[in-house]
Amino acid sequence: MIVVSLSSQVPLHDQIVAELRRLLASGKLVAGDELPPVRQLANDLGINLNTVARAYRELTDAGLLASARGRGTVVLSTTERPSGRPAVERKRIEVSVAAALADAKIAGMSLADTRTLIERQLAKLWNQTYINA
Amino acid sequence: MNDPASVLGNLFTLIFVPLMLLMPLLVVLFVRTRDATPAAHALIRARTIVLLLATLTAVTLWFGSFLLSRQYPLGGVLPWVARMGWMMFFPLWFVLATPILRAKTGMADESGFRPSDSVRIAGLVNRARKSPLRRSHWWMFALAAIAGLAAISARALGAPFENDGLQRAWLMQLAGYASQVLLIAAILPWVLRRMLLEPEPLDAAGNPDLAQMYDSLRDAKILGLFWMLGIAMPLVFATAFSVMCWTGIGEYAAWIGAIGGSCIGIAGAGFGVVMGMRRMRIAEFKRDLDRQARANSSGPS
Repeated sequence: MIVVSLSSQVPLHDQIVAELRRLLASGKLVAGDELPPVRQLANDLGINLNTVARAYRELTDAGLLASARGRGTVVLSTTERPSGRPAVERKRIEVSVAAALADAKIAGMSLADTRTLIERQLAKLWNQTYINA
Repeated sequence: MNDPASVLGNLFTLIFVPLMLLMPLLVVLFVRTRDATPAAHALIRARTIVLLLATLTAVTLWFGSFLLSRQYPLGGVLPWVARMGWMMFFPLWFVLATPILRAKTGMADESGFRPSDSVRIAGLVNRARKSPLRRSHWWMFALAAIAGLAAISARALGAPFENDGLQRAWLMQLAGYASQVLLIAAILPWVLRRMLLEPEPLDAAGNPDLAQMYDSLRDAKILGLFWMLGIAMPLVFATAFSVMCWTGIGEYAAWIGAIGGSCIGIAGAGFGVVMGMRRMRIAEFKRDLDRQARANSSGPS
């Protein structure tokens, strides 16, 4: 399922991209899966067609989705096409993680709560394999 | 006046037309108001009075035309108004009744969303692949279309035309039928595909009953429309055109076309009302699920 919030500060197409990336990362979407047509998703979410089309285009540009003749939009890969050198990619992700952790601290979350939250997300995405790593 | 076609036509006019004209008002009175503010209640009451007056006007107009048409046909205008009066159903339903029903059920539009629904949830199933129509359905459509073409074409082989005018008329009937069927063949798949993609917002928990209700409604709508437009309509056209070219009596064909077309129209309108009510029930069910989810999330943890 894709969930978006109309009252969020985050633009709708970014929310759709984030939701689809979450589904790809958690394995709920795998290579070859068909996505709903743009019109269907836009109708179901009650939003503009172009918003969904833009989100699909962004993920297509990242190498995650592809348009297949007769099948609409399908998942091409669950691994993103690197947009820069590995060190640059790593830095970009580190900045995102740092921003999320700063948000958690500013929101008043304790270290223990933040750690639990991170562990829950890691468990979701890596199927708990990180515990043994 | 006592020939079977007239009797059938009068029966049709006297039973189906008033039924169709009264249906929007009856549905509005049947649906109960949910969660409406006093201001909304007042608006619903005012709109219902407008609908009542419009319904009375429509019924009076139809009945007056029916009575007067028996003495003053006015070149066929009044009988036509009396016969086709059921078409006033459409403004009564779509312009007057639908806004009242939306206000009564608290829906913003047919999608089931209200402005306050800020969280939107969609499934990832590609519904374009979930059509209930199989290849056999399209074969039936092709057979219905070909049967009509064969019945009209056979006139040329059955007996020689008495004059060029009749032959030209037959050619026009054949072309007319073929163009109608081609139009249906061009439009119907597109319309049915659009119906697959109509809004089906989900609840946060992904309730399976909600998904099942959507599936059932979608299948019913698509199959219903297919049978009406893909099978019944070509058969009515085929019968009317065949009767016209085989008997040469346009009046019979006009009656078949009028009664057959009106029956399809009435069935379509009734079908639309029933489907609309089912859609509203689904929207209500989803709202209940959303309400429960909100209560659970804001309750004691």
